[in-house]
Order: sequence, then C-alpha cells, then structure tokens
Amino acid sequence: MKSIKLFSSLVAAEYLKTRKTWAFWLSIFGGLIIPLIVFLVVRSHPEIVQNRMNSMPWYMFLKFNWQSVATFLLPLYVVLVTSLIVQIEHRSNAFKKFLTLPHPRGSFYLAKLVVILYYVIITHVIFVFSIVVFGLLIGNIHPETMFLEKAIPWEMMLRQITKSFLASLGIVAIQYLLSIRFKNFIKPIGLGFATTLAGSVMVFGWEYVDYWPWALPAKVSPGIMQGASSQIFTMHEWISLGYFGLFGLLGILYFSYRNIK
Amino acid sequence: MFCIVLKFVLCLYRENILTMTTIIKTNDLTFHFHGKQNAVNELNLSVPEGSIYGFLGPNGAGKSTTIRMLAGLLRPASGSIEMFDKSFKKAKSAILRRSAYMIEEPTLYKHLTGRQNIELICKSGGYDAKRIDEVLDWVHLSDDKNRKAGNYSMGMKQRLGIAGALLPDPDLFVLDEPTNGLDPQGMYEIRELIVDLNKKYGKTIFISSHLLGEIEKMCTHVGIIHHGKGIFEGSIQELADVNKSVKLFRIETLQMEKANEVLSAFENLKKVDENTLEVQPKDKEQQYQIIASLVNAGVEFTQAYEVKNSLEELFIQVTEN
Ligand SMILES: Nc1ncnc2c1ncn2[C@@H]1O[C@H](COP(=O)(O)OP(=O)(O)O)[C@@H](O)[C@H]1O
Ligand SMILES: [Mg+2]
Repeated sequence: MKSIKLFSSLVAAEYLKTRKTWAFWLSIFGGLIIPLIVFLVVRSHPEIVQNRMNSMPWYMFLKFNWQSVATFLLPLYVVLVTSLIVQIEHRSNAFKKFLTLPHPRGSFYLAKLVVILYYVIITHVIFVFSIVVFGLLIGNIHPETMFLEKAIPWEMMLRQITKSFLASLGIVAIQYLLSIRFKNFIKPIGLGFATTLAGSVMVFGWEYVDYWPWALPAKVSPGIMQGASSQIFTMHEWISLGYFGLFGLLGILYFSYRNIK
Repeated sequence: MFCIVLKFVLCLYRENILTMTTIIKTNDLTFHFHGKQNAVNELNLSVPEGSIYGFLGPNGAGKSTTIRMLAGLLRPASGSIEMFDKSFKKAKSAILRRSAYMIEEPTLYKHLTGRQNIELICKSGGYDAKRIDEVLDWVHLSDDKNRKAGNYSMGMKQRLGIAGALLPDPDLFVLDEPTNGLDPQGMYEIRELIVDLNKKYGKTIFISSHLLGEIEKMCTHVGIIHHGKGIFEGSIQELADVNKSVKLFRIETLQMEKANEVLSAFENLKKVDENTLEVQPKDKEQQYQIIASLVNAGVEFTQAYEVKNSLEELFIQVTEN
C-alpha cells in the first residue's frame, strides 16, 4: 500500500516535470493538427466522404484521418515525445539527483514510462475528439454529407485508438531506451526518424515489415491495407507488445545498472 | 580481570576510538573511465561523525568521481565503501535514506519555479510537504520561490540545490564544489549555511573544493586528493602542523649558475625566479650549511631568508609534484 502511494507520487512528480514543455504542447497540438487539415480539405471537397450509399461518412472521415497519420506522423510523434520527455532529465542534470533518492532505480524508470504512455494516450484521445468535432462541423456546413444523421461510431473509434496505442508501444520502449542511452537527443530522434521513414517506405513490399516496430501503427490503421482488422488483438498488436516487453525489460536493466557519469 | 577490561576501555576512550564513529570509510576505492587511467586510485578516506570534511584537490583530481561512487551513481572498479558502518553495496537504500547529495552543477528544471523544483524532490522522495517552505526559507529563497529557476543567479541555484538536499533532514550532506562559480558574497552565504548545519544541527558534512582557502575557512578535517590518489588526511590542525614542519629557505643571488651548482646537493632545490633559489632545509643546522657552502664557494648572494609557508603554497607544492 505504501509503495503504491509512493509510486503514484513518483508519477505525479514525473508529470509535473513535463508540464508546459515541448512534449506537452506537441501532444496536444499533435492530436489536433491532422483532423484540422483533413477538415479543411473535406470542407472544400465534401464529395470525398460520400460514397454511393452515402451511409458511412464517419468511417470515411476516420479513415482519411488515420491514413494521414499512421504511416509516418504517428510513429514520428511517439519518437519525438519520448525523446523530449527524457531530454528534460538530461538537460536538467537530473538523473544524478533523483537516483540518489532511496528508491530502486527501476521505480523511476517505470514512473517516467507511465508519463510517456499517458501522453501517447492523450494524443490519441484528442485525435478522435477532434475528428468528432470536425465531422460535426462538416455536417453543419454540408448537410448532404449526413454526418449529423449518422451515429457517431464511438465504439469503433475507441477500438481503433486502442489498437493504435498498442501498436505504438514497441516504438515507445525502444525509443525510451535510446533516449536514456544518448544524452544528445538528436541521436534517438534522428534514429527514430530514419527507422520510421524506412518503415513507411517498406510498407509497400518488404516481407518482414510486419516485424518492423516503426511500421506497426500503419499496419493496424483501418482499411489502409489488408490485415487491418476490427479485432483489438491481432498479430501486429502482439508483435508490438512483444517489443515493448523485450525492450522495456532491457531498458529497466540498463537503467538500473548503468553508471551515471 | 574486570580491571583489565576497564583499563582497556578507558584506553580506547582516550584514543577516541569509542566516542568517534566514522560516517564514511573507503577502502582502496578505485575507478577508471572507459579506456582511461584510474580517475580514483586506491583511495582511503575516513570521515568522522560531526565533522566538516573538506575534500580538496585540483580540477580533475577525481573528487566528483569519488563522490559519485559515494552516491551509488558509479560502481567502483575495486575497493569498497562503508557508510554509517554499513557496506554500501549491501545497504545502499538504507544509506541513501540518511544522506543527501549535491553533485557538480545543481539539478534544475529551468522551466519550473524554484518551489516546484523542491516540490518535485519532495514528491519523488516521499518526504513531508510541510518542509518545502521551511527549507526554502532556510536558504533565503522564500521571496524568489515563485520565480522560474532558470532565471536564478548562480548563487541562488546553488542554494536551491542545498534546499533540495535539506528536505529529507539527512544525517550526512555530501556537497560537490557548492561554491564553484560564486562571487565572494555567494561563497560566504553558502559557507554560513554549511557551518550552521554542522554547529546547530550536528550534521556531518563532506564538501569538495579545489580552493584551499575555502576549506580552511570552515572545515574541521581535510583529505587531499591528487591524480586520484589520497595524499593527505587529517584534522585541519594536523594539516597546519605538517605545514609548519616544512620550511622554505630562499637565496637571492647575482650568480645563479654558480649558486645552483653549489646547492645541488640539497633537497628540493628549485628556481623561483631569475635570481632566487629555494631549498627545504631539514633544520637550522642545514640552514647554516647552506649559507656556509655559499660563502665558501664565494657565491655572491644578497639575501638568505626563511619563507613562511602558507597552506595555499603547501597545497600548490604538494599537488605540483
Ligand atoms: N564522464 C567522464 N568520462 C570520461 N572521463 C571522465 C569523466 N568524468 C571525469 N573524467 C575524468 O576523470 C578524472 C577525474 O575527474 P573528476 O572526478 O571530475 O575530477 P574533479 O571533480 O576532482 O575535478 C579526470 O581526469 C576527468 O577527465
Ligand atoms: Mg568535480
């Protein structure tokens, strides 16, 4: 009980460190910007969300949004937010102070991981809420799109952000480890940028792309390609969780035993 | 039988063995950075309870490396550390609970206020939140606590670091060059805080510095480290005694070459400047011999005088060799 209380206060401290930093603003605006752009596009070309039956404007809209982010922007966001959050510690000379507090080092590692995951979730949530708000707006401007008549597919969206979140976990664990390892945050970001880019190219054909952590969010996005499913746990979520477990474990070991120079 | 035991105990008592406990003890502590020679080399320290222990050494001597080992941030390559009579390796968290550290530049979240910075340590350490304002008051930051810490002066940053160290009310403070980069006023303020902690609250303080003057002003004990090796350890009085025993004798001469040759037989002959030589005579007798040999050889010298060796000079001398 006492340790749960202590851990939650560790998480609160880790969260306080990130407030109003780049990571914080990136997470908020990162979730908003793409729905806004898609909204602007659809406002001038409403026909693209109308199919023949005119029955699924929400699904089309959701799909456009998700396709715009899943291959490149989402993995890149995860890379950035993870590095930025860890960078706060490097920049503040903080590891050497906090690791002399009388707790196991692993608890600091986990508390920060919770905060990183929190931001990834927040971005996803802001993303779907923006989609809903902009969808309703389009419905107002162009009633023929039927956004107002059709039910908002909350359940589908919830399922989709869960899948997307799970598919991002592998990237989080890998980038977290890299960000701790390299004091200069250009390194983990550069590496993550390159691997993400590679993944977004390889989506079109490399046979092992299913195992490339930075390509997994694209793999679970709706209807973008074969294999995406409405089930939450498909192969890709499991692969991502596998990476998360593996690199999470490596990270916690590395963090616990490394010398703080 | 009882008498013998009593005598033995009394004897120990007189030797200060029973009354004085050691807070930090290192045994042949050694560390090297990857691919470099030993940054800390078989160092033996022993820091008595209730002392202000000055850990002195020029830049790059290995002070911060030693302190990082005392904080559990670096693992020793060999040797061991005992703190509060416990093995550091075995009782790390118990030891950390009683110690607070401030290592090199203070830890500072520039985008947060001074108070928030302390709040973070408080939350992370699980300490009593009531102490936050207390410690800020202690280091005279109450008026500035709601300002962004990034805008603090160097002295304020160091004091904020000390406030963070004060939070858990530890028995031992380990401070790595807390006056580095401060103006004399800032140095004075930090010194006052440290002496207060020691005198009023009985805290043991381990403080590193590359300035002997700083150490002299507040410490009760001194350890000198150079090239990673311990070269002196003792009370400040013992350091002063060592100092007295080393006499410097200088000769001002118009015939440098010749004087140099004549005096080459004496220990630690050194050129001070163009016409001054320095030797370290063991006693008055040797001092006489120096003068006599110069006279006998017909060397023209204008002055022969004893130099009062300040601690500062001693330190420089010790660390130059
Ligand atoms: N992170 C590091 N990587 C490699 N060498 C280091 C590192 N930190 C210190 N050193 C080396 O270790 C030696 C001791 O350094 P340090 O303990 O910082 O000295 P001090 O604190 O007494 O100035 C120096 O030679 C320094 O160059
Ligand atoms: Mg140093």
